[in-house]
Amino acid sequence: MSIILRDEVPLQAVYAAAEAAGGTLTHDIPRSHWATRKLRWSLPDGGELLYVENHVLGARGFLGASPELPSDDAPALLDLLASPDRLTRLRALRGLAFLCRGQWDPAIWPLVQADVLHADPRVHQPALNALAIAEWAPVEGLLRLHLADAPWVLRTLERFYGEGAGEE
Amino acid sequence: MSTQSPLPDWLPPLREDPRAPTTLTWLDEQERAEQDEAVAAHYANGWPLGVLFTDTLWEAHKADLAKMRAVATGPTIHGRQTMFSYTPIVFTDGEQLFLALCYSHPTYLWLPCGRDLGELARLLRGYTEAPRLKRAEFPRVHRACMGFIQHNRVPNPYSGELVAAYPHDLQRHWTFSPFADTHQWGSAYREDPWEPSLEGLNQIHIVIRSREYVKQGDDEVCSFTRATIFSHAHLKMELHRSCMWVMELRYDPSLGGGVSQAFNERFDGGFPPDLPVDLFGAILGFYHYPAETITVAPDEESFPVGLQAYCATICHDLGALTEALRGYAKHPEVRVRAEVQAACITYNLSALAEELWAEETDEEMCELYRRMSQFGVTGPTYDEQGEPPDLYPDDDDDDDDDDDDDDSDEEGEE
Repeated sequence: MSIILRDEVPLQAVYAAAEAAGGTLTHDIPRSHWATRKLRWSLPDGGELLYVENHVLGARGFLGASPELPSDDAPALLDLLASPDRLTRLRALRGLAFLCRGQWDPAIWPLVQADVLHADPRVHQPALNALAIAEWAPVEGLLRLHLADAPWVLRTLERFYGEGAGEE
Repeated sequence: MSTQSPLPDWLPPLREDPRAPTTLTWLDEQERAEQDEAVAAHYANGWPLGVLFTDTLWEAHKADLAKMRAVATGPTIHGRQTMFSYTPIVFTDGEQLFLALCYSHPTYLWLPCGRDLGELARLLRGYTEAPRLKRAEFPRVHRACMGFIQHNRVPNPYSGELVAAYPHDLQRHWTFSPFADTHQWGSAYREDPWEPSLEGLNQIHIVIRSREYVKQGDDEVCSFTRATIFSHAHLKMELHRSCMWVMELRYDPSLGGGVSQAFNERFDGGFPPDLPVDLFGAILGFYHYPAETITVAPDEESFPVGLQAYCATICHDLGALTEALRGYAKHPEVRVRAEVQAACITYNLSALAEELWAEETDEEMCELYRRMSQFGVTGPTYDEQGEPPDLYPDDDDDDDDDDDDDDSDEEGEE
């Protein structure tokens, strides 16, 4: 199961866990301005471990098979998305965007809608960015539904969905 | 060179040791004298190109060299271009044997073998038969900040003058290096794109390939990587914001032979103790600051440079980078927080920036955070040389002034 690593897990622990699993490092791809850093190990049973650091989302973890490390999986992140603490919700949303890229869960929208529609750009913009980076297909339509209530979503539509250029 | 001293008594019996490398050629008296003279002549005119000495290292090298006698040679090693070949030489100081991979290597980079021909054979085999590993296959990775371009100096091969280590000047330096290949590749290439041997390729084809292989990938950190000649380790030099170099070394520690550890003990160095000698020789003379040695003190004037150096060195470790920046993000002084913001922009740490935006009180910083969040941050661009545009200082300023004088009627009032 895919996991997001918690902040306290250093990169050395990732290497150690992969080594303990008998992994042989086969790919070490550095980060670029947009592209993520990736480490891939082949395992003795024919499987593999894929570790990714997404610096734009501020999330890092294993996609697919994962070693035992302090972490959260998608169901746990969905629970955190209901947290009364905004930063906790935001990190959970980014975690879901990382783990479930392209795989929309309808349970997400009711939990993020208030942040998306919040008038403070420091609240709505991070949420909009995470939703867009996740490449969840229904998000574009959901944002269009709320254009009248939240005109700021136009910028997100322009930047990520190819909407015609608007004014700054 | 000690051309007059007799060979030590313990040496001749070693020649019969069955563990002696079969590729070794023992020298007779005349050959020993010729080899010693050739080595002495190489250093007769001072610091040779391609090796970065300091006064201390040069004196140590000369003092060591005076005690050494060549006793055997190894198999010729061809570089990528067959015009470059290297002959390992076995020396003795009367006490033990040393393997010099080529005599252009200073004595402190010679591999000590004791009186053990088995060890000599192991090292010679290791350095002459080292496989060319892929990037992920190297057992060891080491990163260190090298400081700014202007602080690292390499000799201009024409004048001998020490000049700032811009990519072009470094490339000229490596051309003469007995440690690392002339041929490099940019970040557009994940793996070494060069063939193990360029024999058969004419110079024009090599130049065409050099221009292609030096290209940088879209949005990648600007980097120039080359393989070392003997161990085939990878030396990558990344060029970060404000013209700061970071070295990334990928190598097999089993080839080290303890040379960098002995160097650390003798010269109070701070290098990894297991570096292959050619990789070690390639980085000696440049500044070397591993992350744990970089001072990042918010209350000191050096804070911006320290933070830049630290971030550049650990930029491929998101957890460490985020933790470090969070540590300074709540500092009461705006100038400190502004450096954290600059790092977020440089390394496109959008999520962290958005978190810091929520806490920020300075209006200008908030505005920059807003724009970063709403519009994103444009990635770096590079020219056809694989370098950031406008990297070099404009040497033609004076000439331009002269031109301006000529055109003063037309442009002087602008």
